[in-house]
Amino acid sequence: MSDLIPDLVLQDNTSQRLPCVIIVDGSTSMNGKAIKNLNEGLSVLERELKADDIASMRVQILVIRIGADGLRSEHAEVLTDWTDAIDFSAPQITANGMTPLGKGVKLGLKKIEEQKKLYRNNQITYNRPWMFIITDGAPTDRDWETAAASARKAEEQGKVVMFPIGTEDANFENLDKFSTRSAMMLKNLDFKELFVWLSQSVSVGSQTEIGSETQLPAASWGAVPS
Amino acid sequence: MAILNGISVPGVDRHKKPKENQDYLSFVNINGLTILVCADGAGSTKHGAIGSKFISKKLINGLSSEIDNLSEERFRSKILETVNYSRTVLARYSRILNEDILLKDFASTIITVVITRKNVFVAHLGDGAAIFLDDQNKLIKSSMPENGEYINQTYFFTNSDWEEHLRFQTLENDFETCLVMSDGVTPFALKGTEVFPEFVVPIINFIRNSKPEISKATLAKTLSSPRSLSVSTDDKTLLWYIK
Repeated sequence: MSDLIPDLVLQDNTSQRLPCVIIVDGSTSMNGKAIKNLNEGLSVLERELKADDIASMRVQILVIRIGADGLRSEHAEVLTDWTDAIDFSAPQITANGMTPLGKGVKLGLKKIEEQKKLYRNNQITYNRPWMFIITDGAPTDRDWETAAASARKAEEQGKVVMFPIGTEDANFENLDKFSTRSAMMLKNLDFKELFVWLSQSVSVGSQTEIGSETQLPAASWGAVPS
Repeated sequence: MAILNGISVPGVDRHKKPKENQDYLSFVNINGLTILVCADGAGSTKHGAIGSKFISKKLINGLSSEIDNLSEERFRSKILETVNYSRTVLARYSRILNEDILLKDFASTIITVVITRKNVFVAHLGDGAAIFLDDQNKLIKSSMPENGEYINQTYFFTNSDWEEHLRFQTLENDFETCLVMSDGVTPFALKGTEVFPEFVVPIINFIRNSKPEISKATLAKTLSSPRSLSVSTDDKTLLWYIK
């Protein structure tokens, strides 16, 4: 006889979600090693999240690429619309165009608000959404500072947590304007380590308990730029 | 004679090590009248465990002294009086003891249920739940969790706006089973605002058919099992009153 209560079903009925937007830089300057490493990193993210029982069910991912499309050099597009981590398939990012970070962030904030509305309509509980910005440069779109101010305001109002991350060549003075906290520097284009950390972080975030703050794992891939 | 009991098991940290249990449960039966209290100390605070224990004991003591003559009005005023008193004492204690400790470091939710012969009085602040089932184990009444916009936000007696979130209910005593639980148990026991019978009914049946020590030990083991922890790493508290 088992020493547990017989016939008891222990399942998570909360449908709890952590929405997570990842904005990736697909500008021309990413061409070469950076874009290769970024794509490998996204595959690592897919694998790590799927291997995590809780995160795979709770984390929802949306990937936005910024760069050019067929017509415009400054464009932000949703490459992967909201999907449960268990079903996430890493998109292939191409390097072409400018760095319209403002457009990407504006689109990300809009998609978050839409998703929150959907959660509320369906009585799904959720954590504070997270938004990662990953770039090797500086924003090039005209209105980026308005978008950066919106992101900061949204963060101050508790609507989102922003994570701006730049490679060593990025403009950190500008990146810092997207968050109330300092941007992080990714060293040696180590996107694999970055995405391992990202998957571990969203895993922790998706299990945050009532009244507690999320303690993220140490970021071995980078540092706060001096 | 009713079965009255409860258990509380600690959760685990992110390294899967057991952590300090910040939930606290109390129950008492006086002349056939019953008080159940479940308080859940906030995980991020320095002294959530002290806060939950302190408020539980004060509520049990305060209500016990008046249980024979407890009206709806008196229940309400006793709860308000006890929370106010606890806030004052803890604030004073934190000032005297250490400048680094603030009232909010004792943050805790509260669920208090008093079962009299005719009525049931409920006072609820924050998350966790109290559910009342009939003899077919169907939900007939409840006091559901109150969260903020995000699932990891709730309300504590140490918040300045605690009175706005303190919810009172007076119910008829026509139930068969009352379960009071912390938020570590609600993901299993509730599905939205409904009860999840596949969790709740086997527990009630097991308690009915087992000795109290066996019920407690088996339930504790079940709620601490790897399967349970894969769903929630939080502390888990469950109190039961089964007629």
